[in-house]
Amino acid sequence: MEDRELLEAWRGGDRSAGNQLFERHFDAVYRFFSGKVGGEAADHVQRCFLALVEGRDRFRGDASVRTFLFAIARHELYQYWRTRRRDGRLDFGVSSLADLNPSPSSHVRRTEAHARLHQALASIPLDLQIVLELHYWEDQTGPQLAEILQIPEGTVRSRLRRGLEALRAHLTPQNDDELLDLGHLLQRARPVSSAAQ
Amino acid sequence: MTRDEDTFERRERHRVKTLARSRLFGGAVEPMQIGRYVIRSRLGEGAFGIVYLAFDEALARSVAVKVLARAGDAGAEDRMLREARAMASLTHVNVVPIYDVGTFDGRTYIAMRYAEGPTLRDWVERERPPTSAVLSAYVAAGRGLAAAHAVGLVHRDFKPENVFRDEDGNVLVGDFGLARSSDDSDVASFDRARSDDLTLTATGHLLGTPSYLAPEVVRGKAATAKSDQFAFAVALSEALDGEHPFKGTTPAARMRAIALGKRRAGPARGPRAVRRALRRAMSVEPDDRFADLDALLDALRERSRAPWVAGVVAATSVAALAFATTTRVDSPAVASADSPPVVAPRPRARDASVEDAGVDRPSVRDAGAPRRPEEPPEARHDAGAEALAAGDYARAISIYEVRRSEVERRHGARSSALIAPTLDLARACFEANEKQDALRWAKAALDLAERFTEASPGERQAALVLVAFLQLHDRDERSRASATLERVRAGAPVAGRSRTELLWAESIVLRRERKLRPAIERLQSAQASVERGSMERRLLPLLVGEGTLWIALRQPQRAAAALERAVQVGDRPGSTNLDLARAQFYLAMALGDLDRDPSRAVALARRAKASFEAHGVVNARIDDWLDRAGAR
Repeated sequence: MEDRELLEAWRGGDRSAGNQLFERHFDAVYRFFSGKVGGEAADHVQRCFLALVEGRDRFRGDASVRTFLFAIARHELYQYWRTRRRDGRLDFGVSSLADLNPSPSSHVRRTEAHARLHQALASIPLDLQIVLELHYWEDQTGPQLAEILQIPEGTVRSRLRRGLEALRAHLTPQNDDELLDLGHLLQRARPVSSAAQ
Repeated sequence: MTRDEDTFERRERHRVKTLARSRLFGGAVEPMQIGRYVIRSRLGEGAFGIVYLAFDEALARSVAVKVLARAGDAGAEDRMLREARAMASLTHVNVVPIYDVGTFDGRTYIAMRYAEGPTLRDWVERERPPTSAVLSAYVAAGRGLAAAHAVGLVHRDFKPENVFRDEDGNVLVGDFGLARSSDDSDVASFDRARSDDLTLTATGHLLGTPSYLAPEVVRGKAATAKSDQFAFAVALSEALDGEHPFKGTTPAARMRAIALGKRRAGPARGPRAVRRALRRAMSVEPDDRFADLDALLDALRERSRAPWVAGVVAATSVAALAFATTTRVDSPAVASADSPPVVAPRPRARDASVEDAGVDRPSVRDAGAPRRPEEPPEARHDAGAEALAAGDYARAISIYEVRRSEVERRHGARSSALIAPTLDLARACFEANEKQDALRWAKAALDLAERFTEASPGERQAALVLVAFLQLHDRDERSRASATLERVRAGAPVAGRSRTELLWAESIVLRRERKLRPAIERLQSAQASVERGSMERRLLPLLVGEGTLWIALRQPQRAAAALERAVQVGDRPGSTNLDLARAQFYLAMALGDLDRDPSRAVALARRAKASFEAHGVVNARIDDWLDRAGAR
């Protein structure tokens, strides 16, 4: 069944449809929060799926379920960091995870290069980190990113470009290709999902 | 990264998942029991179905229970059950034992030993075991596979994720036949649980990575023992090199490379004989592969018993290498008692085209036979340079090998006269993208200069510079390059070609330190050090290096200027020279960044792509670029 049909069924009370949807998207949502929040990740994941099943009117007709989930997750993440800052004045275009949280927990790191990359990702402004991760790991396209981030598509492209530049500035490449080809390096550094036997 | 961290990460994800799921849906969604097995947790899920970790209360042991996806029709269901029973009857020390087969809720399930060890992929990636250990683990896995073949079973999905290696080193092959669901066209479906291996295509659809599918299976034929052999060879080759033998970062690109039999160019690790055996097992035509897996294993086992000069060994001292050569059994050409203690890669199989060049190739067998009149060395040198410029690498290397062995025959294996032709051969290997061979030859030359001859300080310095330069291009030896460069600086000043190489090496070091502008300055000095008119082609890689640095500095204008010169210096009709291809592609990128002359940019990228493909390199970056330019 398509995601949308499953979601409709879930909204109609079919828990097994909801469970299937959860199975399909848990990893992506988990990956999104992984390393970005302290405390209980299950809380955030749960709230995202609840918002998905409850948020009928906020769901734009042509968006995919996954894109919608990311939009919810981003909102949830920013909400989390805003409430943790008493003054509430937080600019995610400037603050990086490394600023917000002195010891962000780690993504799965398969190689040293990937570890350096994840480190660098945590050091750039959160806005830029998110756009890079969603694009290179979750394969969200320009229009989808515009939907998730609630910004025009043109801004998405410039943000992606700025993200790569910021990342480059935080990286000490170990081989020449890395400099030229950050996009590929990023794709390869996608965190591992659960391994099947 | 350590195993502990990874285990922690997996456990944590599982914990979060279970917690969130139970809060969202309550606890009753997962089955609690399948047959007599009490479900503990979900281990994974894929196109084949779901795997649970379960407990067998009757026998008080943990088991893995695989519930297969529903087959399309009753016939398929029957066949799956039949296959599962056949598997259950197979007992082999290298095969995951099947305990039980049954049906539950209308679906077939298989209970098997819970294999706890890391998969061969994880083991190789994390522990970087020595070549010999990788080989013996794979030979063990191959025995399990061969045992299955012997009773008529085909694995269909052999890959490093399906082989487990426990702490005692026992190797077990699992997941026989299970990847195939109701129809054979589904073989490309994927195990969603390992999405790190997946890439999104341009159209946004997830595909499986059919990285181990044999070409005939890609074309839609049924899987056979020969396609298992192919998959086995691909997996072993990947484990030895740390890189998949067929290039392509998208599943489509890799599938294309496999279907066309286009293997990655460049050096591969492991003894040459092993590589040869693997190449044969990876033949596009099943008939060209070994008759059966046992024959392949024999070829591998024979070599793995013998000491060899492998890529891994190259990282050890030169003295150790020297020992290895004299005892090497697969190398009759250098096994005589007075053979030189320098170690060199084995000469490649003779390239028929060398004869066209009028160069005779001496060998042990025809050493006593009358020789053809010798050409002046300069003519051969030019022929080699010409072949390099044209991108005809097999021929170029053969020419340099012949030239070197002729000097050896005339002057002996310990003559300092051998240093220069050995260095030239190393340089040719480097240009041909055979970087490990290049480093080994350069080390052989250095060995000669430092230990066995009365070499001049200049000859020693030349060898030292080339070794340092090539170490910078080797993942394992990179860290040693700065020490080698220190030794160069402690010696006599270097001149000529070595000076160019020294400046080039320094620019690489600076580039790694992200000192991009000083790196460019070094490359420009290197360009100036190339004697005018003599070898303009040598400017080519230096200009390409400069161009890429400008691209990294976001200066497409300057990048384009350097790369235009590179293309001008290197271009000649029909050349598939790899440096030229790089220049063409980077120039296309720079022109694209400048929004300048799009049709020329596309034409350049296409030509670069053709050159890479001519050398078996599927460059996915070019494909991506052409896709974005809407021109593929």
